Order: sequence, then C-alpha cells, then structure tokens
Amino acid sequence: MDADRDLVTAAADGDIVAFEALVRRHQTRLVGYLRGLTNSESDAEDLAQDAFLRAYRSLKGFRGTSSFKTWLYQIATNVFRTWLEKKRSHAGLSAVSLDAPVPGTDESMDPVGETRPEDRHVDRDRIDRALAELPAEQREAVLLRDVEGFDYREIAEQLNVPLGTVESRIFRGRQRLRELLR
Amino acid sequence: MTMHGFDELIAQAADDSLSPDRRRELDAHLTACADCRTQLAAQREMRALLMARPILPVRDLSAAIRATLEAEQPWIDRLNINWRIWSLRVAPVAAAIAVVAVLLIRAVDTTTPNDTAAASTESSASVASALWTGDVSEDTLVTLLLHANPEDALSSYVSEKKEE
Repeated sequence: MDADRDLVTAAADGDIVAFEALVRRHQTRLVGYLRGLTNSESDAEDLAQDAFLRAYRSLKGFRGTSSFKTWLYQIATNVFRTWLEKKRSHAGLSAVSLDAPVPGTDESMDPVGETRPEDRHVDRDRIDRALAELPAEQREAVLLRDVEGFDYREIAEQLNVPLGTVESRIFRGRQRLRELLR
Repeated sequence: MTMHGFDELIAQAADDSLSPDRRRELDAHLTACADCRTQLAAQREMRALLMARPILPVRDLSAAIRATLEAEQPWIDRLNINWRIWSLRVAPVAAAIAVVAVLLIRAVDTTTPNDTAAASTESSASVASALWTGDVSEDTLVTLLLHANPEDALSSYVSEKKEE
C-alpha cells in the first residue's frame, strides 16, 4: 500500500498542509536525485520545487496506478529534461539530446580524481562529477535504480521506455561510471 | 559492452533482481566466460558505490512551496476549511435536527382529535367539490366569505343545497 495515500487524497482536495507534509517527506531524496542529475545544489533545489508545484497542480489527475513517489520522480525527471534542453539551447547546442553530459553546471567540472573508489571512502562530490559525465539517459536510470531503489518496471514507467532499454542503460551507465572513477 | 548478449542479465544480477530462470541462464554462461564475470563484479562495485553515496540534508522547501500555492488559491480556499471534515462534523447535527423536527410534527398530530380531523377533512372536500361543480355562485361565495366564520357558513350552505 502507498504510505502517502491519505496525504495525497487530502492534498488532491486542496489541503495544502497535507501537501506540505508530502514535500517534507520526499524533499531530501528528491533534491539528492536532482543533484545527481544536474551536478548543482541550487539547480536541484529549484527543479525540486518546480516538480513539487507541478505535482500539486496535477494531483487531481493522479490515478494512483503507481505510487506517489514513482509519479513524483517521473515529474521531476521531466522537469530535469526540460531544464537540460533550455541549458543546451542557451549554450548554443542546436541538437537536443539526452545522450550527452550536462554542460557548464555551477560546480567544478575538473576531471575526477585518480584514486580508485575502492581505495577511499565514498566521496559524494567525486561521484556526482562522474555522474555528470554520463549521458543523461544513463544517469537517470542508474540513479533511479542504485540510489533511489526503484525496481526496473517502475523505472521503465518513469522514463517511458521498454524494460530492456532500462536494463541496457543501467548496465552501460555503471560501466561508464567505473571508467570515469578509475 | 561484453558483446555476448548478457548485458541486461548482468545488470540485474548485480542488484539481485534476476528471476531464478534467468539467473540459471546467466550462471551457465558465466562459468565459461571470464569477461562477463569481470563485468558482473564491476557492476556490483558501482552499485555498491552509488548505494553508499551520502544523502545530505537539504534546505526545507515546504514553506516556499506553500506560499506559492496559497498565492494561487481562490479566496474561498484560503480560508483553509477542510470541507470533508466539516461535512462529517455537521452531518450528525443535521440528522439530530431532522429527528427533532419529525418528533415535533408527530406531537402536534397527536394533540388533534382524530374524529375532528376527519370531519374537517370531509367538510373541506365537500366544499371544494361544490366550488368545482359550480353549486356555489360567485356572489354567494363572496357573501359567505364575509361571514364571521366563512368555512362553517360555506359548509352549511353546501349541505343545504345538497338536501334541496
């Protein structure tokens, strides 16, 4: 059963306090997910806020066939993609593709360190810099699976792609990440 | 790429989400393929690293989101009335009022003698019938209505007319 169901029902009836509770429940992980996608804390917060607002405005159309969390992350992923298109457009890149790293975020884009990951404690910034080098579609799939813990079917639904595509993106994403972290 | 067509199975095996049948299929291949065993180990390593990626505390977004949503709301919604709860609370009160009203009506009915009520109903019916059939002219009706007790006068007049 979806743990958010009662709050979602109340929020869909216009109860902003109930929606505020949903925001507090999901904001930490959602911002973390968007931080992994954008490699920017401030952009992640802005996009999370946008995703929450869109979710509230669309709540009456939420049919509950998936969990609220799955649905929220689907919205957040779409918000990220729109942001990415605008960013690339402003950067003068005519071809809008998810198959490229994020251009010019406000974080350092220095090459990732030389130390092998197994030789040191987990360095979040280093991982995020490597994630930013992945094609966005692989980044989405890897983060949704390995960080957020969604199953393959949920990810296929969120990204609107076949299951095999999700498996393939996760495989290639992890493979590329390992090369970047070497 | 492993180029062996097992990428998808290896990805799922790395996070233990393969079905038993597919796991057996992969295991059969892994026993003979060192490359794919290496790939599986690498996938597991990256998954473990990502799972250990620290989740940092974030700035609370709820107040800003609430302010934006409240500014968008129509004034009636800004009263912050929970109509669902409000309806549930008012329903028992409305039901109680309805019960009291029914009891009061019944109490009034029981104070009226049945025989008087029946006679009154019969009288009213005969007067109405006389008016409908034209047994009482308009002039007579006006005269009777000016009487001190017009209903009784009308009943008497109709009864007399019938006896004639």
